[in-house]
Amino acid sequence: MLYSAQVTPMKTLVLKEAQAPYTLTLDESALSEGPVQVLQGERVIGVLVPPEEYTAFRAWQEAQHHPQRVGQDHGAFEREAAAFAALLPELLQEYRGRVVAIHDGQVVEVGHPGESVAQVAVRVYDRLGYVPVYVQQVEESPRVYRITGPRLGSQ
Amino acid sequence: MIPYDRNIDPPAPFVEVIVQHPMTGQREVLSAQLDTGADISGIPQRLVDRLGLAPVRIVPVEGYDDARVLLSTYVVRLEIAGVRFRGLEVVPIPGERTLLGRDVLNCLYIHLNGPELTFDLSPSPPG
Repeated sequence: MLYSAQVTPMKTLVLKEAQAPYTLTLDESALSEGPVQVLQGERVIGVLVPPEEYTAFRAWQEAQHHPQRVGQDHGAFEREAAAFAALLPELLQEYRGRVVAIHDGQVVEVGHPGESVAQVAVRVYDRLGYVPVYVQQVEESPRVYRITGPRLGSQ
Repeated sequence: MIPYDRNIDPPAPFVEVIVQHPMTGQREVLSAQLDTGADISGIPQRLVDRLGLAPVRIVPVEGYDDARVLLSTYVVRLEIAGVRFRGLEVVPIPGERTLLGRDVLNCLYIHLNGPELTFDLSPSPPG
């Protein structure tokens, strides 16, 4: 898959060996070691990455450009919350007391001891963009917060 | 010294804060009440909607009547008295009130002068 550094929309270059002005010799194993630059002379004209990395990049790019949509996607948040609940027994074995972040049903960040939910969430946003995420301390019973001011509404 | 808000009875300490989306930087300036009875700070639900904030988790919260509800929490940037919180977890609360709980207040030096209905608030000890 070939696309330029400005990836919207994705461009596909079909190489025809007999007539193509340029040819690429690609060792597929090279992609497993990271992105591959495509040069025209000395100029970088594109970068090759594995398809799954490109898909993740597009999701990040979407989140960067349309962060408001993330706030409206409650279904995605509920799926991440359900994934946290399903993973909790395993998480208790490995990360008890720590804060973890779940994205796409997987643990994508583990907080350092003493780090808060907000600190871990900000780190996830910095790394992945404003994506749907569930960030929670790994404990058997969640802490109860008290607010003595206004009457609270349920959700 | 900052005057108490006398529009409520009895008057209470309110301070101006800036609440921002953690990624877009979209911001609103609000008047927030100092509330040492709150474990966690709260912002109006309508502000959550206006900023397009995404929830980060669900927590149980008890009110003054011990009634427990489950609330989504959100992460915002908050600026108060020159102190910037890069990430602050808040809960949505009904109406237009903003509450500063002990999660924020415990980072500040606060002097309440009740008889004169004024207060002072600073990130460093009073000189």
